[in-house]
Formats: sequence, C-alpha cells, structure tokens
Amino acid sequence: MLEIIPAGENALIIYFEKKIDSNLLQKISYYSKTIKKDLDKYIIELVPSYVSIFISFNLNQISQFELIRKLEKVLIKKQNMNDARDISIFEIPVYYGFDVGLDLKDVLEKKKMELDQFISIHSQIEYDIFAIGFAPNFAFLGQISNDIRVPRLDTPRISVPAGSVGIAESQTGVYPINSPGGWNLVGKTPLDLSISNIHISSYLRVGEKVRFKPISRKEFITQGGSL
Amino acid sequence: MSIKIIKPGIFSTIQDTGRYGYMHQGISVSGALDEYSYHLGNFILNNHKNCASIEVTYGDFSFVSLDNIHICVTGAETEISVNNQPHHLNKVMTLNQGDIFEIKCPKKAIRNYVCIKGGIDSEIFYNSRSCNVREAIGKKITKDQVIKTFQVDKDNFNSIDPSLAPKYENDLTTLRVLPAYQFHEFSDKDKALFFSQFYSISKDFDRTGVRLNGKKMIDVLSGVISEGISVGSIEITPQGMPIILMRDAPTIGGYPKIGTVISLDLPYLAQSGFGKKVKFELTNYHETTTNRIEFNGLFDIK
Repeated sequence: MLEIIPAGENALIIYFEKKIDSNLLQKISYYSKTIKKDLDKYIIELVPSYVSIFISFNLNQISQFELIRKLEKVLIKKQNMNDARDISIFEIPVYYGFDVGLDLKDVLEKKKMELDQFISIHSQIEYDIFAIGFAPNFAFLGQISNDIRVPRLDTPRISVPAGSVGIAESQTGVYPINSPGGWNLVGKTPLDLSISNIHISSYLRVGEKVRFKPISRKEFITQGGSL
Repeated sequence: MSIKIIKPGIFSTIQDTGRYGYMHQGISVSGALDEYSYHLGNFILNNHKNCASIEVTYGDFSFVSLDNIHICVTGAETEISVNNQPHHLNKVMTLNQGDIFEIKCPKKAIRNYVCIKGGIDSEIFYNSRSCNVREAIGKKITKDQVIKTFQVDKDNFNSIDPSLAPKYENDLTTLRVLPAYQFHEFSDKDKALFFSQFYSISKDFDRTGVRLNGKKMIDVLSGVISEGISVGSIEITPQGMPIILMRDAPTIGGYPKIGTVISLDLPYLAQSGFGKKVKFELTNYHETTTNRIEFNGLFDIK
C-alpha cells in the first residue's frame, strides 16, 4: 500500500504500510533521503516514523496538489538496491545497576531472571531506530526480546533523569533530558544524548541502529555519569 | 541595550517565528503562539520579521529599562503603563533609562507580545531564540533577569489602522478545521457531534496543547502508529475528548486526529483561556491556502 493523506494546509503524510515492520525502515529511510534530495526547495520538515513520512512544505513555493504529484513521481521510482548504504551502529554505554535502574529489581522479579542474564539479553541486539520524538533525540528502539518484555508503568514518573535507559513492551530507549516518562528504568548511560551534544545527532536517525554496551559502575562514573 | 525584569508574570518566554527543519530530531517548531500579534509588533516597530519578542501569558509583567529604547505591545486588550502613565496597545512607546513599564493581567484574552525595536539579543539554539520549556530549550523569564536587546541606529516605525489589529474579545472562539489524517476513519455520528457542539477550554492548556471539555465522541480508534504531527492537529483521546496540539507539542504522536485547525485561526485559540467556548467549523484547502498566502505577503513571510 502507498497512500498520501493531507495533514494540514501545508502538511501531508505518506503511509507505506499499516503494520510496524523493521524491514520497512530501510525503505522509509531511502525515500526520506530521495524526497529531501529531489524536492528540497519545497520541504520544511520531513519526519519519518515507523510506517510513515510526515512532510510540511512551503505554501509560497508549491500547492499541496502539485507537491502530491511530484511526490508520486518520486515514490514510483524503484528503490535502487545499489544505493544500499552502510547502516551506522551507534554504541551507547550503559551501567545496568539497581541504583540508577529504578525498576530493574521489579523487572527481574517479574521475569524471574538474574541481572547478568537480563544484561546479556538487552545488550545483545542491534536495535533499529523506528522513530525519533517524544523529546528531542529520544529514539524509539526495537524490538526487544520477548524474554524481557514488560508493560509500561501504571503511573508514569513526573521526572525521569536524563540518561536513563527504559523498556516498555517491545521497545527500549534512552531519555536524553529530564522529562516525565512511563517506561521501566533498567540502567543509565554516561553519554549526553541531548541536542546540546551536536556530535551524536547524525547517528540518531530513523533507519540507523543502536547497540548498548554494558559498563561497570566505576566506568560509568569515570565516563562522567552521575548517580 | 537591556531591560531588567521586575515582575516576570506567571509564564513569560522569549519567542520568534520558530525553529524549523529539525522535527526529524524530535525538536518542535516552537515560536510565538499568536503569530498575528507577534508579526504585528515587529511590523509596527519596523523590525525584521524574525526579531524575538517576549510572549507574556496573563500579564502582570513589568521591567525597568536600562537604556533608551522603543517598544510596542500587541495581543490581548489590557492596561499598559510607563511610569504609571497609561499607554496604548499596537502603538510605539519610547522608554528612557530608568522608566518602568508594566502590563496588567488582561481580562478577556490571555497573551501579549512585548516587542522591542531591534529585537531581543538572546542565545540562538538550532536557528531560533524560541524557548521551549518542555524540551529544556531556554527557561521562562524570571525576576531580576536582564534581557539584552540589539542597538538600532534608525528610529523608523510603521503605524497601522487600529481596525486592522486582531480582536480577541469574543465570547466564542470559532476554529476552522481542515479534514486531515484519520478524518475519514471517524464515524459520521462522531463527526456530527464534533462539528456541532460547543466545547470549553479545560484547565489543561499551555504552549504544548489545549485540552477541551465537552460531550464525548463514542467510536474513537484506540490509537494509531506514532506519526509526524502538524501544529494545530486535533487529537481525540481514548476518552473521546479533543486536544489541539500547539507549537511546543511533541513532533510525533499516537492518538487519532480528526483534522487540523488552520494556521490563521490558531492565534485566536492561543488567546483563549480556561472556560472559553470553542466551536469547530469544517473548511476547505483552497480557501485556506489563498488566505495563508495573503497573510504571508502581508508580513513578508517567505
């Protein structure tokens, strides 16, 4: 399926599928780049997310009708597999400790699991970035192993400390700034993932990948982490 | 050139036209909520259209001028004074060093723009001076804060016919809505209810979103796969109530959306506070586009 639907007077959304599928991400990432390249002068925002690409455009430059026609032309071009690119894998060091992973104990009890086992399951997968949102640089990563899936917290926390690593259902992610949040906290990274750290933004893009690297409490502190 | 805040009011922030081109990083558009009043202030002062000003919510705001400056207040009808002498909305005011400027809490609408000749000289972050508290970009203005402004050589201004200034004092805010996103997936009954009833603004309204109270819609989709958000889009919660997303809203969201409020009506929503009656009216793309392009021309928006 492929559908283009208006999202406002200067916005539209392209739906590629109805179901979340990690195989779709390469396609969405490819078309995001192609659209940006071919139609750059009209486009203000381009937001890929799970199964769609949202676009806002400059009404002074093009009408919605004309832009849809141009998009259709770009979208019928077959994805050129020679363009298959190297996907970057961004490594995020994580200290999985009870003093920073405030829900780690509960998760282990629910899953009847030892800490080592949890760490190895959570850190062995190269996660896909399905979307960026909720907060600047918050990457929705998936899919986590069935063995460690837990529901969101019944009551979200008013403030989750920046750097906290959370899990909820099939997803995991890192809170880049202090914010409210309902995910189960299982660890913390010493890295600054906020948008103030301009070096990391290029890695946190839909279609790229993230891997968690377990570190000790001592390494966490040496690398600038705060407890 | 600078001013020093005496009373910051309950929520005052620095805003310009917004932060564009970073939504894919999860960074909201931000910027002045009442685009009309914001642009009008810069127009009257003959400023560049992107000069940052102070968005004051519910007034009760004052400062002492540390230099000789020119300012203009736009937005909600309210009492404005310099050294306790009354002044007018939408007019240039000259402040000398040591003068005390004040705006009282407006009675019917809620937001004012305090625009300064030359604009505010604050930190630029991702191409904009706009503050977004939710994203930890900037902070709300506090007592004793010193705000720098740009030095300007020329004192050239524009005056406007007062009848052209927007009026926000109506008892009802009518918002024109474009069918968008999941519009066609809502039942006819729910759409009829949505477009016929009078909603009222709940206590939950801010720069992120405006939650409304009213009769519940019944057959609401439980959720959609998170997707890019248009400013002005209207989410319907699982409880059947609308939330209109404003400029500081997250860039993606997973509630179904029945449509999008047109950009030229968002200033009227931004000027509506708790308890204000709101009604939606279906409109079309052609008329909306024509009006928006005309607005862009008026304020030289590229």
